This record gives sequence, C-alpha cells and structure tokens, in this order.
Amino acid sequence: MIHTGEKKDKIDAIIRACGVMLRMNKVRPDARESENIYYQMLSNYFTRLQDAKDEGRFVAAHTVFFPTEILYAMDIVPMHTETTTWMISLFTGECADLLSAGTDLGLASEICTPHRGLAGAFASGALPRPNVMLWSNLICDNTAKSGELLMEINRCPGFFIDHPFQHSEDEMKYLVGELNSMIGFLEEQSGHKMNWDRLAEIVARMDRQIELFREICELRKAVPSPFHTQGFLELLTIDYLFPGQPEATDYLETLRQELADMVKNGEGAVSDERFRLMSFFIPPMHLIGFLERISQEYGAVSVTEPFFTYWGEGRLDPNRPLESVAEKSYMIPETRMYGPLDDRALKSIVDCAEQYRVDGAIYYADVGCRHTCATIKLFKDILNEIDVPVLTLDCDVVDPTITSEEEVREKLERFFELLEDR
Amino acid sequence: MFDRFIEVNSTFPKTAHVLEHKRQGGLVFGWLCTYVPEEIMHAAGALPVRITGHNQETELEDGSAYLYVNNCSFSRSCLQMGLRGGYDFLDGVVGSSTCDGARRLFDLWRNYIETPFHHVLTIPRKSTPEAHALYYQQVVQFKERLEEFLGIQITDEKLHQSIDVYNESRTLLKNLYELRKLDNPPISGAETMEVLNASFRMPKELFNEYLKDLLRDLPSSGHTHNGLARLMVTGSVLTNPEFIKSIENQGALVVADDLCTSTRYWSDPVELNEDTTPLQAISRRYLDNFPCARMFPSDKRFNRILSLVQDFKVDGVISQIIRYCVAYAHDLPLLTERLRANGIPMLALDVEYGTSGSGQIQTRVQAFLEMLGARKR
Amino acid sequence: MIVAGIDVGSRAAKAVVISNGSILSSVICDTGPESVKTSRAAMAEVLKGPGLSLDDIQYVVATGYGRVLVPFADENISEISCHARGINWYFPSVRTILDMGGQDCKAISCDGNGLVTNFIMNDKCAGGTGRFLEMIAEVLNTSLEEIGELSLSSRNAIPFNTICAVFAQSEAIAHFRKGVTKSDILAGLHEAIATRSLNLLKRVSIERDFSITGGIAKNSGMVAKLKEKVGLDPLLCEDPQIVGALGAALFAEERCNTSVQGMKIHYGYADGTGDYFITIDSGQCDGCGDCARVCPAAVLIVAREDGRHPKAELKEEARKNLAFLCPGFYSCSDTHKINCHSVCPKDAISHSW
Repeated sequence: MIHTGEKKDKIDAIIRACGVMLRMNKVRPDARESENIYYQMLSNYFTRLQDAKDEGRFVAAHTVFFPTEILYAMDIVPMHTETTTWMISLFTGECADLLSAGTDLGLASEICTPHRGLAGAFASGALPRPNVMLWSNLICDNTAKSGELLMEINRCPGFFIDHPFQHSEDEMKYLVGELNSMIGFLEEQSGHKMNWDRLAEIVARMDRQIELFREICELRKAVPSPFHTQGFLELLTIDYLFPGQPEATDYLETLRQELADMVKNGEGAVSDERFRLMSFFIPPMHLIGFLERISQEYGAVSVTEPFFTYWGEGRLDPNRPLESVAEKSYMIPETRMYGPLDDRALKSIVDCAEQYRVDGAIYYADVGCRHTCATIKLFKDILNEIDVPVLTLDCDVVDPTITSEEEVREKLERFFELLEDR
Repeated sequence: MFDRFIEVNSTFPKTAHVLEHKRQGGLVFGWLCTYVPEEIMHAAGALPVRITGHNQETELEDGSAYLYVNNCSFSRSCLQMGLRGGYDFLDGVVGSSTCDGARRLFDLWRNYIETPFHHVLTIPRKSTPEAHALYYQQVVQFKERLEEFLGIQITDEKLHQSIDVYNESRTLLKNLYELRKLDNPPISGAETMEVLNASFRMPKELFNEYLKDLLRDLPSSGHTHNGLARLMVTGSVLTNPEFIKSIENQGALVVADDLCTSTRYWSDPVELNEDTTPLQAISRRYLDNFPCARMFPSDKRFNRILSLVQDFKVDGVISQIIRYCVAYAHDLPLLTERLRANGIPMLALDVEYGTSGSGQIQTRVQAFLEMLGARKR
Repeated sequence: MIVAGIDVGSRAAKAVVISNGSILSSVICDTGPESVKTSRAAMAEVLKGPGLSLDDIQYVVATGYGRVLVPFADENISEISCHARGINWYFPSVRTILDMGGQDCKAISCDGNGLVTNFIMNDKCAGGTGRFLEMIAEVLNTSLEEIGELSLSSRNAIPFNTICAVFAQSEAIAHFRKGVTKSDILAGLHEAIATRSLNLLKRVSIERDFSITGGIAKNSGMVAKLKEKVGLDPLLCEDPQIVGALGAALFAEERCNTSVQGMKIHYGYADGTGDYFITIDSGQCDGCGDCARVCPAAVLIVAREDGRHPKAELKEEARKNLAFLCPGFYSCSDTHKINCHSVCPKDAISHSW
C-alpha cells in the first residue's frame, strides 16, 4: 500500500525561493528590514532541515500548533509538516501531485487538502523522512488522526499529545503529564536529554515574544493601520517555526519599530485606508499576492484576525517552564477555535471587532475545514448585531483550482460597494 | 415481534413514552455521543434519550445553513430537528468533545436551541491512568452540575440501581447478539437495528422488558435467516434499517457491526467491585468501552473488529462512512490493510446519514456480493 | 446453445448473442428514457443479424444500471463482474481493468478466471465520465467522436487541475472565450481525466496486463493519455463498449453449462418479520411439476415465459407477498402430509422458514 521512495526531498525549492526574495528586496527601495530577517530565518530553518540527515541530526516531524519549544530545548531539528508541505507546493506548483499522492494512500476526499497533501508529500518523498512523528489533536480531527498513518508511511515511531478540550486545572495537569511523557519518549528515541535550563530560557524569550505580538497588534489599531493586509501570515509563521528563538525576538522587535514609526508619521499600509477588515481563517495561498494588490486598489486592510493574532491573556513563567508551555497552548489565538464556544469566547470576537474598529469581516470558508465553517452563521449573527457585515468566501487554502482570482475579485468588489454604501 | 420497537422508532423523538414521562412531570435529557455517561442522568431521575436526526435522508436546509454544508450530515440532521422543535421537550442536552462534528453540534445547539441545561464533557483520546483520572473528574463534575441544576443528591445507591438497569440491558443485547452468531440466526440485521434504535430512545426498564419478551419468543418463532454471505457493517452512526435491508435483500445477512449506535453503544458492562465507587466504575467503563475511531491508538479498535469478524464468522466487511466524518475516513486505509492481511475483503461506501442505500450503493453491494460468491434474486 | 447478454447503460444499451463461446452478433443503441423499451429494442436488433427470435435464446443475463428493468432477463449481474468476465474472454492475462462508462468510472482487479478480486468506483461525481465529455464537446461545438483526435493534435495542453464537472466546464468555457484552441483545451481535460483514472487504478493496484473498457476506451486521445500516465500499453479489444454485455452473455452460458452442478435460484424477500425465500435448484429441477401440483397454496408453477427448459418457479404474483400465501415448510408439513419438499424427486426445493 505504502512505499517511501529514497527520492530526494523538495526542501530546496523553499530555500531557493527565499534566496530570490532576499535578492529582490536588495533592489526594492520600500523593502522592510523585518522582511529580510523573516526570509533569512526561513532559509536557515529549511537549510538546517535539509542538512540534518547528512549531519546525523535527529529530526522530529510535527503537526500544527505544536509545543516546538520542547524540541528546541532538546536540540532536536523540528519539521513543521503543514508549513513545509505547503511552502513546497507554493514554490513548485505541485499541489495536484501532492493531493493525488494522498488519494493514492486511500485517503478520501473528506480529509482536508492540507492533510491529504501532507500524507502525499511523505509518501512521494517530497518531505524527508523524519526520525519520529509527533502530533496532537489541537486543532481538529484531521490533526488528531493524521499521525498514525504518517508513522506507517515513514516507518518511524511516534507520539500523540492528547490536548484536553477545556481549560480546568485537572486538564492542565493532564496536558503537562502528556508533555512529560513526550519528553520521555523523545529522550529514549533521540538519546538527547532534556535541557531544562534551555527550556527556561526559551520560555522567557517566548514570554517576551508574546508581549511583542500584543504590542504589534496594538499598533494595528491605529488609523490608518500600518501592517499590510496579509502580514499576519508572517506572524503566524514566526510562532509556528521559531517559538522562543532569539531570531524571532529580533524579527518582532524590528517589525514593531517599523510599525511604530509608521504610526508616528501617520502612514498606513495602504495609501488611502477606506475599509478596516477582520479576517477569519486563512486565505487561499495562491491568492495572497492578488489580495495584497486588491487591498491597495481598494484601500482595504485586514487589521485583526481573532483566531490568529489576538492573543489570550496571561504570562509565561520561566521558573515553571513545562507548565508555561502547556499554558501557552491555551493562550495562542488559534485555541479559541478549539474549546467550547461559550459566551466568553463569543464576546472576545465582538470585543476584537470593536477595539479594532472594523468595518467588515471576511470569512475564508475552507471547504475541507469542518469546525471553522460550522461557525460561519454563528459569527455572522453576533457581528451583525454590532453592524459588522461578513463576507463568506468559499475556498480551499492550498488547492488553487477551487477559487479563481476573478471570482474573489467579483465578490470583494461587491462587498466593498456594500461597505461604501453604509 | 418487532412491532413495539418499530412503534418507538417511527414516532421518535416524541414517542408516547417520552410524552407520558413529561406529562407526569419527569425530566428528559438528550445526549449526543456514546462517551456521555447515561447512568448519571438516569440516577438523577431523568429519562435519557439519544439525540439522532431525521430517519431518512432528508434535505438539510436548516442544518446546512447553521453548520455549513461541509459538516457531517448526522450533526446537520440532528441540529435541524432541534431547530424545528423536534426536541423542544428536552430539559437538558449533554455533549462531549468527541469529534469536530459533535462539539460544533453542541456549540450551535447551545446558542440557538432553548434547552434549559447544557453541559459538555472533555473526553480524553487515550486510556492511560492519567486519562482515566481526567475523565473521572469530568464525570464527577457532570454529576455535580446536574445535582446543582436539579437541586437533588445523586446518591451511590441510586447510581447502583441505574448501573443494574443499564447492565441488564447490555447483557440482554449481548444475548441477542449471541443468536446472530448462529449459522441460521432467528433475527436479521435490519431487525436487530430496530431493537437497537429503540434501546436508546425509550425508558431502559421498559426496553429491557420488551427485549426479554423478544428473547423468549425468538428461538421458538421458527424464523431463520440464511444469507449467502455473512457481513459486518462498520462506521459511525447508522439508524436507518432500510440501509441494512437493502443489503440483506440482495442475499447477504448482516450479522455483526461496529457502529456508534450498535455494538459500540452497548458492548461493555460497568464492572463493579468492592474497591470502586459506582462513579469510578461508570467512568472506567465509558473510557474503556469498545473505542470510537477518535481514540488513540487505533489498533485497539481494529483488534476488536477482528475479533468480532472471527466470533461472528464474517465473510466480508462493509464500511459505511458518513461524508465528512474525518476520524473514520482517516482510519480507512489502515483498517482496510488490517482486514486484507486477515483475508477479509472490504467494501468502502461513503454515504449521507439516513440513507436507505439506493442507486450506486446497490450496484456496489451487488458487485461485492458477487465477488464473495453470494447472490440472491 | 445460444445465450445473450444485455448491458443497459446510462448512455447506451449494448447486447451480445453468443453460442459456444463465440460471438454471433452484437449491437450498441442509444438509451432512451425508458429502460424497458430500450432493452427490448436492443434485443430485437441483436437477434435480427443471425435471424433468431427470443425463443431461441436459452438464457439472458442483464447488466448495467438498468439491469433490474430488463423484462426478459433470467438474471441480473452487476456491470463490475461482467466487465471482468468479458475482458477475460479477450485477454485471460489481464488483471486490471479501467471501465470508463457514461456515468461512472471503475477500476477493477480480477483473477485468471475473470473473477473480481477488488474494485473501486468514483463517487457521486460526473467528472471524467462519458456524460462529462459529452457536455464538454457540446460547449466546444464539436462532437463526442471527434474530441479524442482533436486532443491529440494539441501542442500546448492547457492545464486543468480539476475535473469536477461543474468547475471544469466553466473553466473550459472561459478558456474557449479567451481564444484557446479546442485541441489545447481538450488535451488538458484528457490529461486531467487520465490523472484521476490513474488514482483510481492505483487504489486497486496496477498489474502489467491491463485493459480499458467502456465507451470512452474508443477515444484515441484518452487512450494515449492513459498509456502515458500509467506507463503501460493497454490491451484493447475490438469493441471495448460491448465488454459488459459480452461478460453478461458469458455468465449466461456458464449458468446453462453448470446447471448440472446446481444453480440455486431464490424467490421471495426479507422484511421486518423475517426471511421468506423458496429456493429452487434449477440444475436439479427437471420441470416435472409435482411440487406445483401438491402445493396447497398454489404458489408454484412450471413454466417459463419464453418456453425454454421448463423449471419450477414461484408465481410472479406470489413473489412479493409470499409470507401471506405460504405458511412455510415447518408449518405446512405439520398441516399437510404431503408437500413440495417430499414430492420432489430431485430434492431441488427448499424454504428459508
């Protein structure tokens, strides 16, 4: 059923693309310094991954929203499987091949494209074979269920973190226990000991970074808003790949300074800000450039993303590093999609809309994503109560064949007209 | 023999028993998933009923408007019935974090359907000692919330009584399934489904009486069913007996199942011993029960399926997965491989909740039976 | 011995008459709105060539999506089994079949005897089917017969990553309006369909000897693309569209030949109260009629609509309410000293209850 070719992986495509971006930025007068740091970081991350095998380093593949801090503290090379797969897809244009390799494994079309293609990427050898597979049920059934098949494809051992649904004391205790068990598993598999001092340092830096995330978001409240419309994807990637890493602090501090300067000078991300938008979930990757262009054209900027940039309250404590890593998983904005949608969770969305003075919201309804689409009606209803209209865009986050530029342009233009009329 | 069960199923949710129970001032609680401990609600004096959707495949306009089109038709169907007042008699609804469909169904129910009491339980995906400790805490918390809401005490004595009633039901269903192991069982798969559906839709005590009558009458009824192939059906929720009938009409006999609404619902008893409190025993049973595909590791479920295949002398397996059911769809490649290694062919169907199995499904089932060398006309 | 197979598909009805393993005649007609009429017309047509009448045909097996509606059929068998059987007649070495029909696509694995060992069907989706190609041909103002050749003349295939019938159609229209040539659009679509077919095939595993059947197998452009994708030369039979009907005819012949060993025919139904089947072993039954004479309920009859090889069978009118007419074997034996089982000299009759 499953075969893993010894074919060379396709990590190189990402490294080359980062190189191109860096070279282009050298001649672009308006290039941000933070952007250069970002591409250099990506390039380093994937170079490390690419060289890991030759250097005999231990590689752990993991799914999204994972406590990567632990891997860094143990000197294990992380491979964020979703990010790696879909950057490869973006830069090689091989989305269809990855998806079809996933289908070959017997994965039905019910499995969301990010996870179907990810399994396909391992099976076809586009991703290198890891030493271990790690995954958790944060954020959905796809992340929860993907690991066992990936273990079988890669013929490697694995560990599943059972992330509890709610945030009680008992559940925190359980989660810390799960993280401890995973550390035990990793120590046994890799022969590396957990370096608790290093974990404490990472947690201290992570705490600082969360603060920077919040400050950056605070700056985005300014009118006009300084950060470009799809900039939040950079922020996401920073936390996905580099939590608690020194270069992430460097990036965030540089970005904060750039945005602060813009706010001081009254500069916005677009020359004439007309619409302040809230974004729900992720736009189709192949349309990101297009969405930036249309943002300039219409003066429409995403100023807040309740599920991606709106961090929960709380601080991390380096003296209790593992508890802090567990606690962080409840602070990341994404967890708001996981726990029960009680009044508090709903209120935070309304608060967010009010604080950022949004004119409208765009809901990227990924056809493969069950739990984020299930709340379209609910969020529309609560936002309509405070007079914020919501546009739903049916799409697929990675498959470019589902939505075309023309379609999105037409819907957005109509939506902007509606906002204009209000 | 099956009329009384069919009567309950064809009038559900507003069955005569439910209405009578309400008239007498009784409470009715709806539960959404097999990981919700029913005994607790029963011990609180309430009538627990399982929330299910429309009996047939139906247009799900409301379900799709609220849960969007890409959530499983089971959760959409349940929500639609709720939105249209089908469950307006409920005093409480209890959900769990089992799967994306289940938790979002609960989220929307909580926000759009006026049921006085709502509660959701965290269900660990493992069954380690720590997971048991966590689930136990969840069960305790659920009991305490119920006590607070109802202003009553759920005593150990009441819990013991409820465990007895539920365990009796499990034993009786086990006896019924023993009959299905026979070469010519006196009960078909479609008939079994009528019994199972009634089991979670009516007062347990009364159901036990009905089932005892059936078990007394069946052996002497002279009914025998012989299929040219003995099949097992796997998947999540399946409540339309027409689907099973459409398979059996083609000459096969469905003798075993691995479904939320069948074996996975009743299979394991609550085991009491001197060292455990009734709450501990209940919590242990629910987390250790025949696992759903959501549980880790999947092998635990696969091994139980393989032992059912052996015990019920199964020739082939039909997997029916409701579209967008991620947990079961993810397990399919691994399960197919395990069965193949054991020489058991599998037919994989993707269906909508409530399907009666028509059109293309019929063709596939027919071809599958021809492949197994079994066919009737 | 002359037998026939008829395949009532969604777009075309095919019929084949065979005698001792060789084809006497075959036809392909369009499927009309009524399957019953279509099947009669196809049968009449196929008999015309060799100058036969229905009475000359010993056994008819129907297949295809309209298989249950063929009034003169003795039995129906799924198209999946029939395609495997039919291709086995042409190429006994074939182990993998891609059947590309009017409304669905199937990948089938079979053994050396033409018995199905595994199969996969595409789901609730018209993408890549005959109907889909017809739609595209219409959009591009060309005919179904031409599109294959046209696609082969393309120099620069337009990539289509989707073959969802809805998306691909609008994509094709958009390209056409932009002035992309028909051949480039068609080449892209054929490529996409071939990719998807390859996925289907991989799920049943691809063996070296593979074949393509169904109407689309006549499309040279599609065959070329599949050959390229799969990396193997398909074994193609003279008319891939009649393979299902041929398989059905071969099953019919087998039914007649093996009837000595017994072919049990089950009449009746199962309902909420039980299984009610009377089973007649047609291999054993010699049509003596003793059972029909003694049956107190008079539900049995010795006859065949077409008068071939008389056998006992259940009266048509009793098939849907058997339980109300026949009390079942045990109860009947209790009441009557004599019954259908005890009188049958061949022991060819049995009850399920």
